Amino acid sequence: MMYVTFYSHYGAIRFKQEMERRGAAVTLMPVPRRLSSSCGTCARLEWEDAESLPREDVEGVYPA
Amino acid sequence: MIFLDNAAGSYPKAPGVAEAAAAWLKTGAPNIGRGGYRLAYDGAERVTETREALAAFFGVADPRRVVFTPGCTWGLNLVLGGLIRPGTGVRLVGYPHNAVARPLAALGAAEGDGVTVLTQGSNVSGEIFSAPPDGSWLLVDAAQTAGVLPIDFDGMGADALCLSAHKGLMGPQGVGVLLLSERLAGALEPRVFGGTGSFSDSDAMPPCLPDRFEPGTPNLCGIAGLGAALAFVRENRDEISRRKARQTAAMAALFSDIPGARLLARPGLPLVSLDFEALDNAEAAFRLEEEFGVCTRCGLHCAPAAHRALGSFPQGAVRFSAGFFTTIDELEQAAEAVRRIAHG
Repeated sequence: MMYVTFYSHYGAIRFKQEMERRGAAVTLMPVPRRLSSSCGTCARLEWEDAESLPREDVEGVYPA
Repeated sequence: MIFLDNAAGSYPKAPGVAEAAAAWLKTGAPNIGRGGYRLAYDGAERVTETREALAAFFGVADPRRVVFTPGCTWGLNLVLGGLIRPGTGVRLVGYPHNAVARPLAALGAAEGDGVTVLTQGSNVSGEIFSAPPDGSWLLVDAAQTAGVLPIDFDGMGADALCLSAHKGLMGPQGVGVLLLSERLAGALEPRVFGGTGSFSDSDAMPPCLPDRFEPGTPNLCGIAGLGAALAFVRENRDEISRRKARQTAAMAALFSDIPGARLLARPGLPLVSLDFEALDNAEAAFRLEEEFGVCTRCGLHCAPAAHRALGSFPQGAVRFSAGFFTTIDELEQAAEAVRRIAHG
């Protein structure tokens, strides 16, 4: 399980749609405060290969 | 009633617009980019779909460069306010609406070549204007042309294009769209500041689009209506084009050569303006509705520069503007009504 944070809400939505196209189950949720104090939306998902995640709009990838 | 004031606001709206806006309000009306729950995320996905549909329709490669605004005027102010400083040179192409002229005056713009503002379609005469890119910043006021003429934003070399939802797109009032080029998006300073739900630990506006230019809560039920309107316009693109061409030709023919009512200019859009010679233009507009049920708009149409150029300042003119649903028969009835009252 991992958290993915984004620069914008638009980026979070785009990421979710792209990962769902790839077959991932993606849950959007508020960014855990320990990861960032800038608010925003993050994605929580299971994905084996973090390197293959779309990187556009992605601020960071963190283990859950 | 024969409604011929579509240049001010389309009526009726595209099928599905009212239902989409109402559905947003009835199903929770969530804010987006704020609350961290499914209802809000579902709403954000719907807004994203509309943003992406707008990008595809208007030829914008990156949907991030599609910014929602409260209207065309707002978008024009955002861009002009970010670009113009006292003495900045501005070249006007077409007849500027007060949504352009007033911000330029307030900002102290001068005549010159730094920024070109193209009013693509005159809201007074229906004439169409163009301005090829020449290296200066090119801002397009597409209030009268969006949804009426094909627009390929990236292809036309413009830096910004502003439009409203409620005219040619047949959507609701209170929503506009600002399209930005990559080079302007990187250079333009925000003019409105506030919460975006992102970068909240900073006093500065976020660097990323569209957040940088979308502070505060957008008109979300209006955006839902715009999404439905755009779907209709996209599906009926060819018919819209055929119908507008027929209406424009019919209006040019029907409203020219009416004794006592001077046609200001031959239109390229389905709208014409007449200057009545034997009676006050306001009296003419009033009688057209009272006696014939024809709804028009008289006055200066917030575009005094157009009337100065067309010889109808300060008396203004009576404008007749067709929409997608206007029939040729209605235009013929309106022209006959003009004929009946034009002698005074």
